[in-house]
Amino acid sequence: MAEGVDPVTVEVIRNSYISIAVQMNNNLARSAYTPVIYEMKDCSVAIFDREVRLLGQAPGLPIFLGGLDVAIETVLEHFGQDSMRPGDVYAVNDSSLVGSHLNDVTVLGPAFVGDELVGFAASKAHWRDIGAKSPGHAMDTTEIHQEGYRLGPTCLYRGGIAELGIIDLLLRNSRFPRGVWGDLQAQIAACRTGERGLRALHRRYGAEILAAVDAEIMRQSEELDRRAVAALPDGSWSALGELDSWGPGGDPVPVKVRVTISGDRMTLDLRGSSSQTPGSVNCGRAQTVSAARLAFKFLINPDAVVNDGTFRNLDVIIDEGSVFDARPPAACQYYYPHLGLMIDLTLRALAQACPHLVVAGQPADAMNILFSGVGGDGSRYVCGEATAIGWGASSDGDGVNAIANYGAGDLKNLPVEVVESRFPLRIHRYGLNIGSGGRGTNRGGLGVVREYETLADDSAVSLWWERTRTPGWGLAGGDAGAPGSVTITSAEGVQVVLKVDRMRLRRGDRVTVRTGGGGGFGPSSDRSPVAVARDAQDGYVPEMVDA
Amino acid sequence: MGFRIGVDIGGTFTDAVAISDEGRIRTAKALTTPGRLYDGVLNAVRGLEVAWSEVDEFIHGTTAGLNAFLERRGARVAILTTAGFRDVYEIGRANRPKMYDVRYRPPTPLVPRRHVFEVDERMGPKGEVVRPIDEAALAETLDGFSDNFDAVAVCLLHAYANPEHERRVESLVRRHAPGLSVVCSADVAPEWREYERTSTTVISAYIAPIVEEYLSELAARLEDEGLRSSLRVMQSNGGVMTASVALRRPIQTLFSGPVGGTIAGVAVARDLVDVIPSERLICVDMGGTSFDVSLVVDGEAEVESQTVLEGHPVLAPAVAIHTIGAGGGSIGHLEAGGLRVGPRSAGAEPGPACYGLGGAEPAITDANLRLGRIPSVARLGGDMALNRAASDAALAGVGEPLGLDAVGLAAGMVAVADAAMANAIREITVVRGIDPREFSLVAFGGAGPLHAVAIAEELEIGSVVVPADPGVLSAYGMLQSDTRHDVVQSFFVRVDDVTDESITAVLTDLERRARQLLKEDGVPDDSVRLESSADLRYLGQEYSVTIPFDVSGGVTEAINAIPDRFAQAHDARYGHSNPAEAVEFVNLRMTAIGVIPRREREERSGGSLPDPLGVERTWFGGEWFETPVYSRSDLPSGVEVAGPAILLEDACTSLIPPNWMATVAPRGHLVIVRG
Repeated sequence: MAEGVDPVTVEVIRNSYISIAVQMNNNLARSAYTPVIYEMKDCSVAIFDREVRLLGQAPGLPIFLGGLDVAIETVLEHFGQDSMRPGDVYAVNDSSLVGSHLNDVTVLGPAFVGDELVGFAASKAHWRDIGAKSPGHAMDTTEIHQEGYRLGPTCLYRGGIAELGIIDLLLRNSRFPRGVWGDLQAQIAACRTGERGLRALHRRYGAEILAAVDAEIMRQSEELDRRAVAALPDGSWSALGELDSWGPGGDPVPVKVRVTISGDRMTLDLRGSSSQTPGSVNCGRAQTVSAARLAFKFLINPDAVVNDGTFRNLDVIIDEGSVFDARPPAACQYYYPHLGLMIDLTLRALAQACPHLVVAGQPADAMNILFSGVGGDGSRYVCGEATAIGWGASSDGDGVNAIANYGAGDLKNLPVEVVESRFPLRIHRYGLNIGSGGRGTNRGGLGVVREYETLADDSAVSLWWERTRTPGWGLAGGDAGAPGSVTITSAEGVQVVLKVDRMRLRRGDRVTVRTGGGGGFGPSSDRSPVAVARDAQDGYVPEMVDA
Repeated sequence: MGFRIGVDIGGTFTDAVAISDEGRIRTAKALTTPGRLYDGVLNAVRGLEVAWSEVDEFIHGTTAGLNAFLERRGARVAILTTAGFRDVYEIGRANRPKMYDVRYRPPTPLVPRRHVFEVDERMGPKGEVVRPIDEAALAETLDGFSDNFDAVAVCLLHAYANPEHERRVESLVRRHAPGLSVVCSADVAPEWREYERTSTTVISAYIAPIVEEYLSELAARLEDEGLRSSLRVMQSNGGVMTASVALRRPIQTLFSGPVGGTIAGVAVARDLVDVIPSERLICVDMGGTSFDVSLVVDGEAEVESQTVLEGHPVLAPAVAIHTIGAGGGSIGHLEAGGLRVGPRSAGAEPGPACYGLGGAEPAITDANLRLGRIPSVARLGGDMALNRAASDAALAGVGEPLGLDAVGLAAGMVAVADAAMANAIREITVVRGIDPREFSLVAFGGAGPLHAVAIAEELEIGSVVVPADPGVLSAYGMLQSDTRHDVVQSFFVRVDDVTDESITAVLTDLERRARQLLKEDGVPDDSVRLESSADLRYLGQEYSVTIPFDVSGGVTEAINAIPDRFAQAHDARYGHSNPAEAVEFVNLRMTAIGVIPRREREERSGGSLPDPLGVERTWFGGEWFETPVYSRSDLPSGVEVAGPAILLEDACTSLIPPNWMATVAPRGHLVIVRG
C-alpha cells in the first residue's frame, strides 16, 4: 500500500472509476444512432487522468482494449494542454495515428475543475459511412484515400461552441449524415458523463489524494498481472499462419508470433510477419498493441478491470512498416484479419506451456457480407453483417457453435426477420454448418450456413471471407475445423468466391455463405461414446455412410 | 366483514397478509413446503384467522414457473419451426457477453437440437404466404410426439405478421398428437426477432404444464377450504390476472414473486402520498447475496418489454429489476494488497462468521455487527445467537495487512459496499436521464434498511422509507395491485406514411384482445382503463422509445403530435434528438387495467416515544455514539425518533444515523429524512 492513502478510499474510488466508465458506456450504447454501435457494440469508452493514464474502461469491442490513450496524446501533442478549455471536443480517426480503420472515430474531451485540467474522457465508435469509395466500406481499397475522410487531431467544439464548418464537412461527406450526427452526439454525451464523474471525484477528494489513490490502484493491477504471468512456465514458443489474401485477387499474408515468458513478463514478438500489404489488410501500431493486450487478457486475469497498471508486463515487438505498423498511404479498412490470426497464433504458441488456459484455433475474422443496391421503393440500401464462426475446443469441453470471434465479443447477428423486413432479401436457410467442427476428444464448434436470395434487380454483394489457408487448427491431437466457403448461384451458373467488391446480382440470384468451424482438442479416438452418440442424435456431425 | 388476502411464497417462509374493508391489517407466516407449496399457502392463510367465507379477493404470487425454470424441471418440449431455421434457437444472437472469457459457454438451450423439427412452410415479412404448409409431411413429423413430449412450441418465421400458419400447425398438432399443450409464438410474443420470440415461446411451453398443475391444485384446495372468490395471480408486469387466464399466459407469471417488492413500493408510495413526494421512488432490496434496484416513476413501476433470465431472452413485459452481487453475505478480502468486498458471498452456509457455522471470512453482516449497527439484542431469524468473537477474528485477520483493526476494516467494508450500491443506482438512472436526487428511496430486504440512509446520502436523496410489516411486504403489495394485461402488435410504418385507418384497425384489435382478457378476469367494463402507447424510433435506428399514444382526441391529431413528443422523449432519455429526422413505428401496445378499488390501510393513533430497549455503542462517521435501540412495533404513529437510533423488528433493522430523523407515518411506514 502506498504511503498516506487509506485502503478503503482506494477501493471506493477504484469502483467509482469502473462505474463511471459503465455509465459512459450505457449512455453511448443506448443513445447511439446506428446499429453497429448499440447492437454490435463496435465502440469503447474510457476515462483518463491528466497524464493520460487509463483510470477506467468499459470496452464494447474487445479488440479496442486500452487503445484510447493514443488518440488523447495525439490531440495533446497538436493542441497543447494550455489551449484546452472546458467544453472542448476533439476527434481523430487517422489509421496511422490511432491504428484502426477510418470508420472508428475517437471523440474526446478534457475534464476541468474550475480552471484546472484534471483528466479526459474518450469514446471510440464505428461510424457507418465516412465517404469511402463504396457505401459503408469497400473490400478492395489499396490506399487510405479511398477509405473516407481522415481526421488528424481535430477540434469539433471549442469551449462548447461547435466548429460548424468542420461538422458540416463530416456530415456532407457521409452517405448517411444523420447517422454521423446522431453518433457524434451520443459520443459527446458519453464523454460528458465521464467528465462529470471525474469532476465529482475531484471535488470530493482533491487532486492530491486522487493522485496517491490512482498510483495504488495501478500498483494493484500491475501486481495482479505480474503474479499471473509469473505462475506460467518460462520459455519461448512460436507459431505461424497465413491469411488467404490482402484483398480480392491478393496474395497470402504470413503472420508470425513468438511468445516469450520470462519471470513475470510476457513478450509478443511479431517480427517476421508480412510487411504492409498493397491491399487493406493493415493497421497502425496502436491497434496492434490493443490486439496484443486482448490476446494477453484471454490468458491473464480475464475478470480483472483494466487500467494503466494493466499490461505493464506485456511487451510487443513490431517491425516498422509491417502489416502491424503500416505507414501512409496504406489502406487500413481490414485492420483486423491479421490481428485475429495473431491472437489465434498466440494461444497456439502457448498451448504446450499452458494447455489449461488456451483453446484450439478458430477462423478468427469477421466474415463480412454486404448487400447494396436499390430497393423496391427506389431508395438505396446497404445491409452488412458479420457472420458467426465455430470456436475452438479446449481441455474443458467442445468448442461453442456459431459464435462471434475473438475480436468481436458481444457482437450480435442480424435477425432474419429484421433483414427480410428491411431489405429486398430473402434468407432461405440459417443454421449450423454441419460437420465443420474439427474432430477431437473435445469437438470444435460448428460454423454457420446462411443462404440469401436477392429480390431486387439492381443489387450487388461484397464479401470478405478468410482463413481457408489457415483454418481453425486442432490442439493436442485434435483435427482442424473445416474452412468456410461462399457460392453464388445465378443464371450463369455457380461461382465460388471469397473476397469481392460489389459483384452485380440479379433478382433470384442466391448467395450461400458458410463459415468454418473450430479445431478439436485431443485425439478423436478418445472421444467418449456418450458424446459421440449425442453428436449423432443432435446431428452435429454428418450421418455415417456405410463404406 | 370482507378481507382481501395476499400470499407470497419465499424460499423459507410463505407470507400472508389480509386487509379488511376497514383497512385493518393482519399478517402471518408459515414455513414454505417444497414439493407441496399449497400446504404452506394454506398454513399461512390459516394463521391470519380469517374465515374463508369472509375472503372476497385472493391474490397469489406464484414461483412455480420460475422455479421450474431455475431448477430445469420443466416440460419435455418440442419445437416446430420453419424449414431451414432449425438452428435459430441454438444459435441465438451469436454474441459473447463475457468477452474476455476464452472458454465462454452460452446458456444451454432448454430444448436440444434433436427435439427441434422443421415444418415445410414459409411466410414473408408482410404476412404473405410464400410457401403453404406441407401438411402431409408435418403429420409424419408429429408421429410419436404424444409419447415423447409434454408440450410443443410453434415458432414460425414472421408469425408476428400473420399467425395463420402457426394456427394451422397448432390444430394439426392437436389432431395428430392429442393431449400435448401447444404454445404459438404469435400468441406469446407477436414481435419480430425470431430468436427472442422463440426463446420466449419455449420458456412458456416449458413452464406451462407445471404452472397449470400448481394453480389447478391450489384452486381446488382453496375451493375445498371454502374460498368463494376467484384465485388471482400476480404477473411479471406488476398487475394481477385470474388463475384461469394465467393458465393460458403462463409466461406472465414468471416473475410473479420477484416483482412483489417493487409493487409493494408502489402501494407504500400511495399510502404516503400526503407525507412525502412519493411519485418517484428508487426501491432497493438488499438481502444476503444480492442487491436489487427498481424504479417507480409517476407512481408506476417501471416495466420493460424484454428481460433476460439466465441468458434466455423473454419478450414479456416485466417490472425492471437490476441486480448486483452485494448483500449481507458479501465477503471482504484482499487482492494484490487491496481491499475488495464481494462479489463472492458467504451464502447461507457457512454464512457470515458471526453465524458460527465455520465461516472464516468477514461478511458485511459481520461488519455491521462489529460496528454496533446490528445490536446485541438482535438474534438472526429470531433465534440464532450471533458469535461476535468469530466476527472480530475474521475482520481483524483481513484488516491486519491493511493496517486496520476490526472496527476499521468493518467501517471500510461498509463504506465500499454502500458506495458500490450507490454506483449501481447511478448506472441505471443515467441511461434513463433520471436524476436520483428527485426520488425517494424505499428500502427493504433483511439488510436494506441498515444501509439505506448511507446510500441516500451518497446520492443526495432526501427521504428514505422503510415500509410497515417489512417481513410480508411482497404479499402486501399484491393486495393493492390492479388487474392488468399488456398486448402488443408489430407495426412497421413510417409516421409520414401511416393512415388513420391502419392505426385504428390495429388499436381496435388490440383493444378487443385486451378487453377480452379482462372480461375473462371478471373485470366489469366500467372499471377498465386502457392506455395505448407506441414504440417509435428514428428511421434506421434499432432501439425504440415507447411513448403514450392517446387517440381519444382523434387519431389524426395523435399522429401529428408524434414527432414533437418523440423528440422530447428521445431528448429526455438520450440527451439529444433530431427533429428533422423521419420517425417510424415499431410496435403498438395496449395496456388494459382493471382498476380495483383501493383499500386504504387504517391510520393508527398517535402517542409518545417509548423507552428504548437498550443502548448500543454504534460507529457513525468515525466515532462511537451511544445509540438507543427501539422496538419498531412499540413506536406509535406520528412520533419522531432523532438519529442516532436503531429500530429493531423481526424482519430487519433500520439504522437512523446522526442528523437524520425518523417518523412513523399514520399508516405505519417509517419515513427517514434529514433532520
